[in-house]
Amino acid sequence: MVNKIITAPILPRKRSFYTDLIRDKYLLLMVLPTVIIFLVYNYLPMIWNLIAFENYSIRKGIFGSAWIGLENFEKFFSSPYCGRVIRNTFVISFTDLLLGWPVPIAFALLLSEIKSMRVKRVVQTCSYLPHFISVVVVVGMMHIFFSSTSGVVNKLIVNMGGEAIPFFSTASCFLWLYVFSGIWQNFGWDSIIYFSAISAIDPQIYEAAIVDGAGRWQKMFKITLPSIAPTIFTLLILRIGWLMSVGFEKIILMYNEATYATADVISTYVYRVGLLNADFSYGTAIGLFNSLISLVLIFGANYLSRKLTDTSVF
Amino acid sequence: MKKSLVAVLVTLLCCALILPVGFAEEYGYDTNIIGDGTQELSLMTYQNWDSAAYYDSTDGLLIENVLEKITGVKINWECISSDDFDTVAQTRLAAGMNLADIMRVPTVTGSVTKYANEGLLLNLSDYINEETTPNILKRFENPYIEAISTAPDGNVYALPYAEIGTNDIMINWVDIRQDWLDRLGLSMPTTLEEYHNVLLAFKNEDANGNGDPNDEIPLGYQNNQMFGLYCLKGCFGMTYGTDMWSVDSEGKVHLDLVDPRMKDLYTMLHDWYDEGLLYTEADNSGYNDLLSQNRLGGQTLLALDNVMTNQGLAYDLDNNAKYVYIPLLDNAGYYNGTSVPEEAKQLDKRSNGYWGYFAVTTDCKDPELAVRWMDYVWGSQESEDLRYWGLEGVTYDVVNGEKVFRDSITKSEKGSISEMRALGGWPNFVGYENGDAFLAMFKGAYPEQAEAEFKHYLRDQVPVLMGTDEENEIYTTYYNDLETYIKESTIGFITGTKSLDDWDAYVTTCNDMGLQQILSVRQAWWDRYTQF
Repeated sequence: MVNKIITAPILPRKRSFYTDLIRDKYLLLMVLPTVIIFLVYNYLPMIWNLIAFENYSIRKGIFGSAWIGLENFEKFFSSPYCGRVIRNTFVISFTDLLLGWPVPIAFALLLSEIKSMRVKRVVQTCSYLPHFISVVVVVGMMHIFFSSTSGVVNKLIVNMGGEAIPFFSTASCFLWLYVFSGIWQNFGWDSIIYFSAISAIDPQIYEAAIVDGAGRWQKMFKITLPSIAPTIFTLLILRIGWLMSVGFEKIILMYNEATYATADVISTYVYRVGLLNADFSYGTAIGLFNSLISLVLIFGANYLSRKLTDTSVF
Repeated sequence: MKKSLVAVLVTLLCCALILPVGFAEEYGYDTNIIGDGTQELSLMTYQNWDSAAYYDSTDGLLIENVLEKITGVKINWECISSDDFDTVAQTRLAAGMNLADIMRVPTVTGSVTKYANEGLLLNLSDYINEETTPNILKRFENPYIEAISTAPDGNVYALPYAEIGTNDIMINWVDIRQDWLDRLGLSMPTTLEEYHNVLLAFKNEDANGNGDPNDEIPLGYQNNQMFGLYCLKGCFGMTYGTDMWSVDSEGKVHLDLVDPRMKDLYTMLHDWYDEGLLYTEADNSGYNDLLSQNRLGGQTLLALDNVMTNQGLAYDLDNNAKYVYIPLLDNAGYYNGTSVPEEAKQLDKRSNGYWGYFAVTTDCKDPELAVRWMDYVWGSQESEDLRYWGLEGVTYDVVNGEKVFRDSITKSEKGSISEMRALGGWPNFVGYENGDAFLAMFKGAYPEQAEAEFKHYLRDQVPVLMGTDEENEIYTTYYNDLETYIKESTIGFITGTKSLDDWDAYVTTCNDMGLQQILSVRQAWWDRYTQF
């Protein structure tokens, strides 16, 4: 006869919110400053998004101004520049992402193959130095290098028998100037995180691969790349979240009437009509629309990434 | 090493202590005429345009210090660089808190009435009377000043930072290298055709004499950059110069830039562009380099004092460098084969004569003090003389009853106006001035000659008044996009990225984008202006 031992299911002890609170009080205390900062600087200002739906008047404040519903949004979508600024924002950001995202990965992969620590360190330091130059200076340097009358690039073109190109006043050049200068400035810095991911890979895996006769390329593609894939995709998703906030300062510094056609983006347009023209409600409405697209994009990217690679941010 | 460093520091410290503080009595002024030296006002404005002298520096600037002693009111400066000012001031005004007692109103059309209606600006009319503000009333005897200071509701909320006198004599036109003409044996062009030939010669020959015939840029830009080329519209039957707007003989306001005659101008400019006569950068990058490399044959829309500054830049490489204005060019074809009649030759003044407004905010604790300060500083002759002439014995002397600037000002290497600004003169805040000082500064130099040549051609710009709420609404809704479109299209027509076959579509688009609404506002302003 077998005595069946029936064990009662272990029920979780009922814990109230308050007991948790008391138990974790020090941890909570530690996280409190961060929460406060986020609330004050990131969440509280969101209330001001209300003025997108109002005819905002300073005197009447956000709760007293006249409610006009979606009028500001209608105004934006019927503006002759609406299509153009949305298109430019997407074109510039996607090109930037498409060309700029693989560069630091490739750089990190290749550089990690170098044996000499000294060479590695020197190259790495040199590559991320441009990151510390301010955007104003970078654009100033570009103006000097690409000047149509005394820039070194145009000197070269002219000496080879070509015709000087006014790069900064040619709409078709803007995108490439913007994207490649961005890559030049940031690829070194962006690669640091991949370096650390690569150095965290267990060397035993490589040793095993060598024993199995794997070559350098095979090690790179079969071991290194898959090992850092979660890092790559996490960073990609985060980067997609920033997609719609293209480098506003840099564009303001670079564009002029001759390049508006390809350079004017949502944020620069908001700056001109919202801030310079003091039409705050309208500017907020466009900004809010911009944020909505960002939100959709980041959720979309996260969803896709979870489906395809099992990596996701949330 | 260390010792010498200490010695230097000690000497510097001593110098700082014994620097003249500028006591107003020393220069013969009454002191404490408004306050008793204990009152303070805060003033939010542009930083001084002389980049080495700050209004808000610890010791202050000489002329401003004297002003403080005279008025007996200490000014707490809040200075913001002119590039950032509008952004900062608008944000501050939008928050409606922590406003300075007296502040420059952001230079966006309609700002004054907008912020006045929001209740942020004090209604100065409540304080303007014979007793407290005799000087303001005296200035208002000039109908133009009254017109630009008065809001549509009849009240005064802000006073213009006006340089009407200087503007009345300020030429803003195209200049050319006289010495290049001489070197190539060419005479000064008088017609558009001759001018074209001169530019071609600058392009093809070694005009700057450095041995390289290919490094000259015949025509570049200053104000408004490439867009500013529209100033040649005078050759096609409109006014020469800056103003995009005009009023016909029946009192109707027009936008010149959509006039069918502009099409002919742009056709011509596009040819010039293809011939390589125009600077190819549409923004203002690089023209200072070109000037100092001695490669720029001329610039459009250049104000008189800038002609002198630019000449100075070219002077380093070529001490024969001489920039002069080209005449108002004739274009016989446009007047049935005859010359442009003298009376039709009109050159727009540089501006409307004022650069923005200053207002007392409702945050001000002592509005009467602020208004009286404005009355003295903005309105009085004494303050005008002090700010634009400086101090007797320091910046000018009186010779035979006439004020004459000292050599330290007129022969200054960094430019006479900059020299005055370094002392706190030629301020960029509330004030009024009549132009004498400007002319005296350049006595015997080219500006005097240019005055003689151009003064009788100068014409007032179509005035910009303070709008009503409704007018401001129209302006904010349409003007920004419209202006962007017009500028882009103009540059497109010139560089050829936009075909002139699209001219009609361009005009239609302008109308679709609210040109008629904007014109009706400008018309209303003009009609109101003619009533003053």
